[in-house]
Amino acid sequence: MTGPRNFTAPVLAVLLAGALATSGLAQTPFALTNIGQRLDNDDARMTGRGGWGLAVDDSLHPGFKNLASLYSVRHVTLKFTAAGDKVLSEDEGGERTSYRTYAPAMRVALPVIKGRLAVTAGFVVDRSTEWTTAVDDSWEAWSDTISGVTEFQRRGSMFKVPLGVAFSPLQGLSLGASLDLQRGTLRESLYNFLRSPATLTGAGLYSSNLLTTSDEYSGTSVTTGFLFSPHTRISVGGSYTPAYDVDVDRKIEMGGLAQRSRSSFILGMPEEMGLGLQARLSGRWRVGADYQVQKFSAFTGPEEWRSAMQDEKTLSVGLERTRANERRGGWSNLPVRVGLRSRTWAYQVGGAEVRETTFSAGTGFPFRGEMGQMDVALSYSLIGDLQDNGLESRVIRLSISVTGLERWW
Amino acid sequence: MLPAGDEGFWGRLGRAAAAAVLLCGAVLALQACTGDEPGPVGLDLVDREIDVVLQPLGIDAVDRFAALAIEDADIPLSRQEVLYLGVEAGVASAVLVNVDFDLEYDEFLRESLFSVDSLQSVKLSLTKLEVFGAGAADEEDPAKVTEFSLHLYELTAPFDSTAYPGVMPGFTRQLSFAVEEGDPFTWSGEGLEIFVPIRLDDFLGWVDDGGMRGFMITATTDSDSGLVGFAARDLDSYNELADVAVGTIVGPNFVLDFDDAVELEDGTDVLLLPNSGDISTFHELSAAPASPEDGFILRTGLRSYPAFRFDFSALPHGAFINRAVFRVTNDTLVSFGNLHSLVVSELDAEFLAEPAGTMTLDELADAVYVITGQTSVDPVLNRDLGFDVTQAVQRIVNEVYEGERGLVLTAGEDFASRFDQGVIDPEFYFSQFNFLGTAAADSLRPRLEITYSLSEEITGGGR
Repeated sequence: MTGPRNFTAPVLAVLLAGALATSGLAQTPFALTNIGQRLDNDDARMTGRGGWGLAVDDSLHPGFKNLASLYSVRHVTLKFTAAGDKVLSEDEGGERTSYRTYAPAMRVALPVIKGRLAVTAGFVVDRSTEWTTAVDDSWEAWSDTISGVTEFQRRGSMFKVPLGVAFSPLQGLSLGASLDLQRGTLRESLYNFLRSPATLTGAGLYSSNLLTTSDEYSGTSVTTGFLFSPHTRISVGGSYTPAYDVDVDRKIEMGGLAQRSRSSFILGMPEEMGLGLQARLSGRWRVGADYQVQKFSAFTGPEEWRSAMQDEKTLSVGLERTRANERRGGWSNLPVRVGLRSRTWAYQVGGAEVRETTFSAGTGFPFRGEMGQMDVALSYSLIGDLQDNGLESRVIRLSISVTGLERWW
Repeated sequence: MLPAGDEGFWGRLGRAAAAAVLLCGAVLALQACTGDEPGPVGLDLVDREIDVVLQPLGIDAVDRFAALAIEDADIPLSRQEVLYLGVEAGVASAVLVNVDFDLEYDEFLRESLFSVDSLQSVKLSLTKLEVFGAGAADEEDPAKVTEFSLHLYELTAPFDSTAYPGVMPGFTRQLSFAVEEGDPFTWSGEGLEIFVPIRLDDFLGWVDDGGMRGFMITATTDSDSGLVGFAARDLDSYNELADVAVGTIVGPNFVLDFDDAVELEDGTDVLLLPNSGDISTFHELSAAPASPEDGFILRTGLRSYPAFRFDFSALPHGAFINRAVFRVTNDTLVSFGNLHSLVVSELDAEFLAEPAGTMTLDELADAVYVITGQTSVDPVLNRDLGFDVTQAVQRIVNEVYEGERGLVLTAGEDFASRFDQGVIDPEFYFSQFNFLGTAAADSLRPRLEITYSLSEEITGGGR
């Protein structure tokens, strides 16, 4: 594709918004335990159609879910995704509505041999946790009744920096591979805010407690993928990440204390695989599905995590009407996407597996000269069950992605 | 000329900037919505807890103690601004005065004036500090003496300032006063300036003999109990005095009243003969208890400060100190003196040697780290005193110092600037706080009331 250079706007927008948005932090109370909540890091196009994208091959709107699909890019491609959540969570303790914005992914692909060989890099948040509980509390010491709040905050993410390559050795077949630098942190903070009795200045007479556990993750993984199009209407794609280890350095400290505890252990992350299918229907309609599984039943790590682990399975299906360029086509030119995703979480909560069901819809708006696109998706997720898990969450999410194309050489 | 439809680089950049601003604004607006109050939702999934929260621990075992005698090299006793007279709670002091009778005569002050014809009366003037009251009976403030009886002695020789505090010097005779009521002279307590009447023949004899002569003023045993401060010749802190007439010599001095026909250089017939040296004897000065069992004292004037090291063996390693209060009980029945700031500081334990040595004030300033204090503590009224030493105990737990640390209780010295109120330093007023010792009842003995929290995940961890 050729066209005027109008890519500066999305690039600047991506960089500035990326600097301003919070990092990927999902928030439901389910993330208070274990390895954390799988974060939806798909772009808004994929999110709108339920999350499938392993078998997509689109040089003007590449998906990064399957690196093998990037072989076809002919422009430098940047993609930035941001999302805003409204989450209503409920358990026996009541309800809480929370809001958050986050940026789960930023990715770039560069053509080396246009339409044949490309390299890619990026920043992708895979898992995250952010939840805080707080309850009024009181204690007795000496002749004082000390009142305050006990607050627990769990916050962190596991992210990766993929450095990959995609290559098409044959017409209709492409392969991809990446070396993923796995990083992340998890911080659990337990506070006893001791507010009364207080001094004349309002400061608590008793110093508050803060116990913090900080984990730092570091590891390396490899991801491979393929994309095969045996027919113009059918594509099949897949990806595979072998099991890998993540080194964890743990530091436990208490505010005001010089002593601290340090330890290290290894998270044995299980292999992850996915298979996707896309079929072109009549006209502009496409249908697709992805199935992904990560075998957390084989996870090794802290016993309190491992004992609640089970395989994480995700099935995404959806329908997309692709964009058109009909003169005076108006709204009918816009893409339309709907989808459904069903996921079983990697760990149980309340002794029962956690099911997450997401309904989604979306559309997109091209930039002038076919040099990129902005996509939006609106989704509604049901996570868990009050009866089975003791709590449930309902998530309304607005996702926005900006895909920019540019010819830098 | 730009091609049609091509707005050029700067046009695109402008649109790019506008788009960026809009997107950033949207992100910021959304972020502003992220504040939501946490509550109990999800509480059942929280399995973290601090193993021990707000555990009370009383520590009253003092494993090292020292009563530190502090000397101020810049202000020896003979240079202090206040002279103390009287008896109180084991402390007794007389006032010694040296007077030079080698008078310098001139055309106004002629030698012939020193005769019974010209000299009408001679009085020894003493000026009391305002804090000791104007003499009116005051049951609420025993420091205000009601009645005082004095003896005046002529010393064998002028006093030696280096001998004090020390025993009373030898005297040649007790002087009689020039009043009909006889000996001793009783001061009713009225007024702040005392005039002790001196017999003319005594005084004229001293003038005839010339030279330096020493005198001692003592309070009789039937005086009201109390240690009363009078202005010394070195007094500079005039704010501690009530208003006095211009030209008044506030240190002990002889007031010579000549005949009305006499006119001296200043146009009056009154001559003030100042002293050449004055000092308090403190001939009875109860030693600071060497063992904390017997109680301990904090004394100003002649500084004595108690220092402790508590036995922290009962405090778990790795405890977070929520609060630590150093509590002492002041025996208000025997303590006396003026209001003072009391300050608690950390002190290197090397200074807690037995027997306690003497430190200079500069050495003490270098050795302490001020923690906290209280101002305007009344030794007669304030019984239960507590000092928040949370951070100090935490530092000890954290082993942030190479050596061991103790606590020292001092007055508001210059090194404790937060608690050093006014311009009066602790050597000015002689006060004594008598604290109950470690043998007292549990609620009265010196102790640390510690409240701590503990996580066993940290206990035993490295630093």
